[in-house]
Amino acid sequence: MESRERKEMNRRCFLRQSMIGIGVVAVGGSVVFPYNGPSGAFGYPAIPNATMVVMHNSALCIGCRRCEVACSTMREGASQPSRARVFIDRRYQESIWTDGQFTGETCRQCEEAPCLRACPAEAIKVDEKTKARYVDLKVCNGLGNCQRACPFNMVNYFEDERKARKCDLCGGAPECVKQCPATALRYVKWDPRYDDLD
Amino acid sequence: MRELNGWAGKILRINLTNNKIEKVDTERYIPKYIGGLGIGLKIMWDEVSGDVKPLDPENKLILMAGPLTGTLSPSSGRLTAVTKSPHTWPVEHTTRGNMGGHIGAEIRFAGYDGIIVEGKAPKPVYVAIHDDKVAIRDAIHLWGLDTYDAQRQMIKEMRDSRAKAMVIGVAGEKLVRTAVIIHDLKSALGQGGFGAVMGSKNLKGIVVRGTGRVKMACSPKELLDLVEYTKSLIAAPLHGIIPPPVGSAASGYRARDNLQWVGGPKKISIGRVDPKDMNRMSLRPHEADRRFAGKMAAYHVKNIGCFSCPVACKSYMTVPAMNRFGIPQSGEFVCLSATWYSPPASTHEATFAAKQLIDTLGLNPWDLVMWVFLLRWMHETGRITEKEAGIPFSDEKKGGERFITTLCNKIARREGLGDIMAEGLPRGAMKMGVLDDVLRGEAAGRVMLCSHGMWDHYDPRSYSQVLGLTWVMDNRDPNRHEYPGMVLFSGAKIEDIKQVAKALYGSENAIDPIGKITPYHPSKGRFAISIDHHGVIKDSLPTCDWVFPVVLSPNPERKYMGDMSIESKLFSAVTGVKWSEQELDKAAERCWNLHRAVTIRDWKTANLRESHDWLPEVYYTGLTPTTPVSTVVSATEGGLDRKDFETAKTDYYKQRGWDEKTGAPTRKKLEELDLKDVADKLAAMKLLPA
Ligand code: SF4
Ligand code: SF4
Ligand code: SF4
Repeated sequence: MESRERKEMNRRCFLRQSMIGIGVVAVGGSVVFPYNGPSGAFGYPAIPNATMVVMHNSALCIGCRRCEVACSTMREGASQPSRARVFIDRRYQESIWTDGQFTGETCRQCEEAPCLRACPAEAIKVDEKTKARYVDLKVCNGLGNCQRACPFNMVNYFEDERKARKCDLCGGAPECVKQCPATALRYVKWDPRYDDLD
Repeated sequence: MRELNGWAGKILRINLTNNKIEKVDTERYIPKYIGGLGIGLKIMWDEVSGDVKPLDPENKLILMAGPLTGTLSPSSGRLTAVTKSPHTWPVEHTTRGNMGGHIGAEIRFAGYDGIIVEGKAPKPVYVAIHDDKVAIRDAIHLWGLDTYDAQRQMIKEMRDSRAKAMVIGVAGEKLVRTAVIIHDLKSALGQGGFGAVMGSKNLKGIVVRGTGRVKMACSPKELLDLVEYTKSLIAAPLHGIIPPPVGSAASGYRARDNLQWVGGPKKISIGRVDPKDMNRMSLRPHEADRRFAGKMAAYHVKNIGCFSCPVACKSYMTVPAMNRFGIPQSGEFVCLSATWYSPPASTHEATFAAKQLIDTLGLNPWDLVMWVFLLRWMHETGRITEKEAGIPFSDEKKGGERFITTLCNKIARREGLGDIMAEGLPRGAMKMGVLDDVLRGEAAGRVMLCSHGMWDHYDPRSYSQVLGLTWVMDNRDPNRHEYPGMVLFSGAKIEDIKQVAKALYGSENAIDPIGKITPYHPSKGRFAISIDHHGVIKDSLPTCDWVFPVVLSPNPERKYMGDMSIESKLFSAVTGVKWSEQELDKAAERCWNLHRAVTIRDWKTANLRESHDWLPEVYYTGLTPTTPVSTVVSATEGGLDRKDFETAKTDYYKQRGWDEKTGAPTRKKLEELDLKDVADKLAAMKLLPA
């Protein structure tokens, strides 16, 4: 069930990407946003695949939200789950009353990262080391396209700062994974079959 | 109000009589009263007189988080409550409660250190808090709902699924004296009757959504290092830290290769967890496994934790058969709530049904467990018939599902005999004319009624004068687990424990093995005082009693020594108030003296020694071996010695700088603790010893 739902999301994600690509071409072939299209197609530069990703295991997760606390504390300097880049709480209510299989949401570091493709300012870049897709805050101009583009709602847009945040794998040492007391979050090799793993 | 480190900076005051909503500046109380319990007691002292009755509109329900709630500090996501209690007996005095879950943290993210509820709404309402927007909403449609449905409905009405709620069930609405407030599946403000106080205000519940932050003074890295260090020392719940074969079989930590979780959609193999593996610490086998080895373990879906807790003491269970009784099939289990109804012939379904019933109706198992024993005894001895009671005793032989469902519903709804039982055990037993039998330990084979009208959770006959002292000095079941944690759950050897006790309390005599009481020694007084102070700290920062203070560690190289200074380090790092262990201890002592002052005012006598600091008769006699929770109590040769226990009390008062004749704090002590105003007020009431 869970994984079927995710596959569906992936399919939608793919369709959306194709549409963006076609859309750009339809405007007359002028390449305004070089990243706004699938890799290789129509002459857009390819995005290298991420090497690693943070994955969540619903069965092991104890629902403590230390990951949200760690992410916000270490990355924003204060505990604030609403500003994390990993979410347990968003779907906590769905499962707490029924089966306790918490759905933790992490960024998939998508192959064709729609967040990255959607940013006209090219503020979303690829980390040299982990190849994680990250927001360069110096470039981010607060359009919020990335947030709307992410099929998994994993971009956290801060209204007050008018800047976006997304998971950047903490430069290769994910704080959320370090604080998870249940190995429910794991830092693993990136794999396009994300949803079929486990 | 400026943004502080640690503290949110404001406390929400909600008056249900005139719908006034105010924000109180937390800086009035800090750092002097720490947070949580400390501030709660101070507000109680300042704002509620000794004459106020628990269910009067003038009583206040004070819900306080602390400076660590919502941070990375381990097991800190808790909420403390203070109110005049309808549950305590013989006097309805001020008491405290503490619960986990997520709502304490949510209150802090909404920007508050706590909530003071006062007055009484003319009709049922609930309070909705979304950051700085606070509304008092109609709750007619929620009145009568069980605690699960009510929470879900309130969260739905918030239009934000990330909101957290706490509510009363039918029991709270009907002012059952022992009713609890429930949050999520089972987090409860339990002992004390907080649910009845909420019900008396016509308040069904509080729903909160917070998007803000909790700031800290230190750098994230500094906090992280401290947290990692703490995690390396903290134990599994109940300080059950040392796995067999080194740890005894009683250890709460039963590491083994074949540990599995089998109750979920997929079977999960956990196996043996290395105590040093911080990423698997919450997977250690503990509560659930310890209590439910056998049939119930088949329903264990997973361990589950409160906000920011890496230990996860609760067992999440799904029992599909519950649908048969119209009871929700999923729930969380821990400790007594799990096993309070488990007579020999009962099915495990009845045990789980009993657990779900108390959580959905908002009842208190610590009181109900006594009723089950008392009723059975009354029935067996012909004092009551099945027909009179309206309770199907004979069903117990068939599994007990009908028996327990009837009993719980009768009490929660105050129907028939349930109306008397809803008064709590001591008051109910008095009405039924059996209180003397209870106090002498003749009813039900084992009395189980300790001071303040509560079930004897850790019997002083098993845990020596130390727990005897903490029982009588507190205003409720003290519920502090250092002592049983060390001798019962840790699995450590008594020689090692004694060395730790010597280092901490000055002598090996501070601690006795279970049920082998040695004569009083001043180190026992020191131990009791340490328990009281660390108790205040636990409820004020807060941290969790099942983990803190870190008395022992699983670490043989440290000779199993824990680290009692961790709380002060976490407090200093987060708040920036640089307090040493001693300074935090001093603040805890201040709060505990204030607690005593509040008690004196509630009792209207300074002579607590003869009145409040009292143990029922039965504790001076031997223990009968029949007991419902065999791990909590073990048989001992004789009870406490009366003279010896009086010596203990005298020495405890002396060590505290209290008047030895009455057990009341002296002016000198109060002034030393910067509580001159308290001394003056007591003197004006003629409640200060000469
Ligand atoms: S933010 Fe969303 S779109 Fe971007 S990489 Fe992560 S999951 Fe994919
Ligand atoms: S890897 Fe880092 S940025 Fe990503 S969710 Fe975890 S803590 Fe946050
Ligand atoms: S830290 Fe781990 S166990 Fe806790 S909520 Fe996050 S993923 Fe779940």
